[in-house]
Amino acid sequence: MLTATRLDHALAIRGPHFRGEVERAYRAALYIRAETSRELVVVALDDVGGVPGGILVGGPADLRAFGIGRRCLVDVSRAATWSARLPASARCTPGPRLAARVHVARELAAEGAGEGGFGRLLAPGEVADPFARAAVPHIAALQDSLLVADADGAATAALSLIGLGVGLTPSGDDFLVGLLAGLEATGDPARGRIVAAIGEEAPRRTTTIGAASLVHAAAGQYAERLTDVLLALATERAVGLGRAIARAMAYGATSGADTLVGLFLALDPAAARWLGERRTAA
Amino acid sequence: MSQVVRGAVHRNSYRDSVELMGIAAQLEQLPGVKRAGLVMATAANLAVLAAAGLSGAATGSPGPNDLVVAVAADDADAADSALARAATLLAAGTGSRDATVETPAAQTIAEALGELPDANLALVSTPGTYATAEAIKALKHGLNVFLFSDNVSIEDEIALKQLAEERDLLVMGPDCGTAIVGGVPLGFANAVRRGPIGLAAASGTGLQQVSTLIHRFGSGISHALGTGGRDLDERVAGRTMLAAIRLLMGDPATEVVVLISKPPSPLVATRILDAVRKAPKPVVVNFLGGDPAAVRAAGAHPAATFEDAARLAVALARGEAPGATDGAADPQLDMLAREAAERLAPGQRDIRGLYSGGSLAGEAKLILKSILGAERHDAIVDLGDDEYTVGRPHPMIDPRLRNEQILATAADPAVAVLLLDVVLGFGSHPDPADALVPAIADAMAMAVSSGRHLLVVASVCGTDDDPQGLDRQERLLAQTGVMLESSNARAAMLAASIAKAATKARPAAAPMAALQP
Repeated sequence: MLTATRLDHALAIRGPHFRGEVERAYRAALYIRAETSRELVVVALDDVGGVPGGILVGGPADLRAFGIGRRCLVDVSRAATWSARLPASARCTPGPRLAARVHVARELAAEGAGEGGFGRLLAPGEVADPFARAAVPHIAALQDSLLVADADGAATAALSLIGLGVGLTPSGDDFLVGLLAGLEATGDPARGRIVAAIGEEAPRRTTTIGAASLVHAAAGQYAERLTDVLLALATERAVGLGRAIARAMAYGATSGADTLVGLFLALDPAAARWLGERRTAA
Repeated sequence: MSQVVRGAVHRNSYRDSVELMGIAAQLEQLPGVKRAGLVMATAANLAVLAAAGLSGAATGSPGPNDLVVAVAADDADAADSALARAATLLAAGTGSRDATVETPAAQTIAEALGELPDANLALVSTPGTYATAEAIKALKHGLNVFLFSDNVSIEDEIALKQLAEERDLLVMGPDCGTAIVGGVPLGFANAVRRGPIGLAAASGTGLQQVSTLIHRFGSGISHALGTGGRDLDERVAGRTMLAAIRLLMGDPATEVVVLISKPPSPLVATRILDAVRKAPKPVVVNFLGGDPAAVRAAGAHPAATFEDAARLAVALARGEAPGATDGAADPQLDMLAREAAERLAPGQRDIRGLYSGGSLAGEAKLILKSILGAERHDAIVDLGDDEYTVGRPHPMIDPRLRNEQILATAADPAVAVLLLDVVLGFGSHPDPADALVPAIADAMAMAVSSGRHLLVVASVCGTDDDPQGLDRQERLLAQTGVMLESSNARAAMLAASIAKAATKARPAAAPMAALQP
């Protein structure tokens, strides 16, 4: 039995235990199909930080011992709750101050971006991942649409990115999660149209886990690591920003960087010169 | 040149991108292979494969939860061998450390022994309710037990230790947080050099402090055996401590033995000191706050602090005459304390210790009491105590609670010194100084903005071989203005000396009554 330390307060768990069957097992996370609600719930190690619709557990350093298909019991009786919703203090006002902060954040993230996924789009240079190269025209179309407040155009471009790329959750899905968080933080009206499109299409276009993360993001629920980046950008503390970016980048193999590419585009579409250079190359 | 495209679909297969990219890179190294890719068969990814001329790879209408392996090669043989290689690599899960392992790890002690027939120790960390049963199984399989679990009843502990005694085995624990056996760290242990000194400890951070200081003083550890905190209770009768003494005395790699504990019950102390008296090797005894005369009478060397224990053990291992360890005043420490005290505002006199290590907190309390006396308002809090850790991780892993307390301390105008421990090693926070520094910096800034000066004194328990790196941790703290000492004992002595200097320099305001005419 695992012992929960924290859980998303939106999870409806009756009684002191959560029960389900392991569908995926990774070192730091299990994807468990809940016995009663049939929801796909993430059970992650505490140091992963809050995940939407998820439960954090202390104890074992490696969750892979819980083989796929096994029944799993989590004691949630002593778990604290947290909210995956974006706090009011994470709202960002678009403008030159935010642009300058995003520039710093992008530089920090580019330092840590690896070969695969969309992370290499953060800085000039060769992009090895063919799926990232394939994503560039869609990201460019998304950027153009956001700049002219064309919500339908943005939604169409977003749809092309669902399920595109490498990874546990394809890079395009992570990108869109970051994008939705950024658009919510700045109050961009295009978000609603993109959410509607994603909500309809995600389950058909991507993996079960990718779709689950998109559904959460569409509902305004984000991982704590992503919220921390927005908080650091909104509160303008240099120390906090560096730490938040490092933590967000460390999420998954490429997911962290993929998410930040989407976030930065949403927060500052006008100043995305980095992507502009890439557009001419693509 | 012609090109053959082949593909394979692995149904409902889910790997992380590091593993998939690793496998693709390996396939591209094979003779005749031009390109290889492994992705989930989402519509968007299939379109990219098609654009790259690899549309033939995804046969059989794969869905988004299926994995496609696509290979473009010079000929069919090369393509087919690459696909076979991919299947092997996927089955073995060799692409990355984070690979999904779909074959479960051993689920029982018997299964684990099947995989590792030469194992002689089992680490049990199941919840307390199940821990006894697992420990019994391990002992019956002839395994020594490191019992990390807590909430094991004292009756069960006694039964387990009796069973171990009958079978000439060792039960470390329950609630044993740390040990180093034959160079292998278990639980919260540090990366220390191997050497001639063996430890037996009923105290987790005590064991860590002594072993890391032995490393710093240039010597090393043969084995460091934990006993669990209750072992020296009269009911458990020091069974593990006595077994550990026997093992270390019989171990050819051990030349000096150090025993670490709070003072045992008198009956248990007698049994242990009897064993010490008969011991063929030099023994250092560090029963915090215990009676040194009884230790001397047993022919052993008493140590008042963890640092003293480490120094004595290293000297004995080198064949040197052990120096005095009576806590003689250090003139340098006194000067540092007087200078620091001058920066304090009137009314700042108290010491607040916020500890992650219980034994280190215990040691600090004793030192403060011996230097300052009992009549003070100092508070040394062990934040790893059950009272603070219900529903949240231990402060050695999660700094949040301590950071909150640091800020609360800064708001108290009576506090002169904030005393901290930073514990490194396997299992501890990956970068504890980095996690503490913002709170310390904020606390210092809060004090300054209120016209005070908060002195922060700390020691780092660890070595440069620890994953967090002693040097980096000390540097981060020093850069924030923390007064660093090389051991917890020295840090506590510095804090006490500052408080003493502050009291002498600025006597407390006279009670109002005394001012009445």
